[in-house]
Amino acid sequence: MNLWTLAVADLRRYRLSNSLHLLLMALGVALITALLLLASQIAGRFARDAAGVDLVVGAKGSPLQLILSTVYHLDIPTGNIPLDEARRWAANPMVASATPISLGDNARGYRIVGTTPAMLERYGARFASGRIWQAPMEAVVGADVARDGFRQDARFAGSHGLTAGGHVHADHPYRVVGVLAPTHTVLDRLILTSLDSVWAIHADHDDHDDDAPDDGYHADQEITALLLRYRSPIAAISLPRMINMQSKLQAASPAFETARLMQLLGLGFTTLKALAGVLLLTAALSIFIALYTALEPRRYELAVLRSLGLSRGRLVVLLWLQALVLSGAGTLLGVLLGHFAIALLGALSPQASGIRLSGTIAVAPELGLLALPLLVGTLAAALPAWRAYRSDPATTLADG
Amino acid sequence: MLSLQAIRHRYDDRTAARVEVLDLAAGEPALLLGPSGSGKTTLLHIAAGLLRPSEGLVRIGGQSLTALDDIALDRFRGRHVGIVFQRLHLIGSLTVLQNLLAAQYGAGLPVDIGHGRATLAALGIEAQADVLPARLSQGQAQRAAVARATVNRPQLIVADEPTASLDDRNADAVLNLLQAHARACEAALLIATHDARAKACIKRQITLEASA
Ligand SMILES: Nc1ncnc2c1ncn2[C@@H]1O[C@H](COP(=O)(O)OP(=O)(O)OP(=O)(O)O)[C@@H](O)[C@H]1O
Ligand SMILES: [Mg+2]
Repeated sequence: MNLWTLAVADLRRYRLSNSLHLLLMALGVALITALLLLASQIAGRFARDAAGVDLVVGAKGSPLQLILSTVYHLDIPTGNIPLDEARRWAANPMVASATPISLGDNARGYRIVGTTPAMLERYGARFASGRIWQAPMEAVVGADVARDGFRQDARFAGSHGLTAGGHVHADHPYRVVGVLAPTHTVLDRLILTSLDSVWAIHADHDDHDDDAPDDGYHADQEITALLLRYRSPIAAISLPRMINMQSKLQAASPAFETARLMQLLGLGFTTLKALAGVLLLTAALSIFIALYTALEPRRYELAVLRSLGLSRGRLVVLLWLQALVLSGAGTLLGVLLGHFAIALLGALSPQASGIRLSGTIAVAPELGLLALPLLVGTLAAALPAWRAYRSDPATTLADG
Repeated sequence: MLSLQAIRHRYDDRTAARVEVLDLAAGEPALLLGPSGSGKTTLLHIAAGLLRPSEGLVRIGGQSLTALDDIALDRFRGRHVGIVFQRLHLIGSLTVLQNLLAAQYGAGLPVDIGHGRATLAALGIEAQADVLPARLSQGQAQRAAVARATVNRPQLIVADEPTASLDDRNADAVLNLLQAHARACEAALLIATHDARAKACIKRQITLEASA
């Protein structure tokens, strides 16, 4: 028998209404938790997808579109650029490494990306089976793609466009020669092949010249974009400006564009955070009302506790403890609900959508939520506790 | 055991209770009589240390209550005074036994379940130990209230109108119970009442005059 027993026994007595107050608290916390998880997982995913890319050189157009299409594989590209010109920039002394990519086809919605092995190194990808492409029409598939039916040694045809349903290049089937281990990046959802494969298919459409040598290329050959890595941070100052001024190409920085995008998204997050704040305030108010209205029917019991020897201070602690139990349990339930909601979202979101959500990852700001019950509980208990402190047991007990 | 001297209590300049001298020995029962509004409840609360009088001295077992600060007074009351309320006021969220343990806890005594059960057994309600008060019959609830008031073996037991709403048989039973347990604890027993049935069985009577 102690204050804790007294507090819990009383809460249990009105368990239905107390559960409702607790649930209200849980909903506010769940919303905040879900937002924190979403924000951190989206940001984390964006950062991982753009790993090792300081600058993207592509066709003129929206810089955000260029980044989304070539780094995150979400949008359609702004156009193509001549290979010679791309090579010129790749050879620039300020550039440490360059990865060309060529988009245009898909297989059942998975983008086929013509590129070089540098693309795999960029993500530190390892092979689950097989090897890298060595000849045209050999493909390496990401982990998610492989799981969706593109097994080792499977054959498949690409179709035109970046979404399923375009013209099928049935006469040029690919063969899966390698499957990558999961990287938890966009790479898991891509089909990679040599630039030659992409050129071969499209050249074939024009002049049936599909015997292009491995390292030779035609003057009119094009790629979609070049992903650059700077040799030193100084390059960030001059290289983008040089490219934008001296060529018909466009240079865009993933870091800058995603920051812009997050800012746009952030506006939505702020609104949702305000909503969660209102929910929490409602929860605090609800716990306050619970404690305050309970004071009236409980006033005899509180006076009796005084008569049994409890000091005013201990009544204050008793009420505070009850508010903490309600808000603490509400917070705990809310955090669990938030994780569950994200896990559910991750499980239900279609395979094609970019971000794989996980409910089992906790983020640091959630620790801040631990302070929440203290704040909400103290806020809710303040006035009831003050009234209990002030009330005189003799007066209460005299009329009953 | 209980000693009141020159007690006055005023609410807004109106004297609500006054008594010159009242001494009760250990185990001695007494009735506090007087018409409605004469200050019986007020005096009972003063004797129990629930209320500090405007003037006068209260001693329980030699301890002057005036000398205690608020927290010490709370603790002293929990430890040495047992109170039986007219409407009993058992704590509804606790079982009968837990009500007794709450009294031990409030007094700052070690919580002793064995002693709690023994106290219930002495009152013949050990079978109801783990039952919530709402489940008790009127007679059982009264026994539980007496058990809670006596579990710490207090020096003073006070009871305010313990028989007011009871039939003759129950009124008799409660009065006997209170006297028996006060004697067993060697506690002074002070009962405020205007019930004629009480007057018949307790000889020591203090009558308050209606205040002006
Ligand atoms: N908290 C209070 N504030 C102001 N006056 C009070 C308070 N408590 C009691 N009184 C007054 O003090 C006087 C004595 O009250 P008390 O309750 O002690 O009488 P009582 O003898 O117990 O009456 P009853 O037999 O009706 O219970 C009454 O006039 C009452 O109105
Ligand atoms: Mg009275």
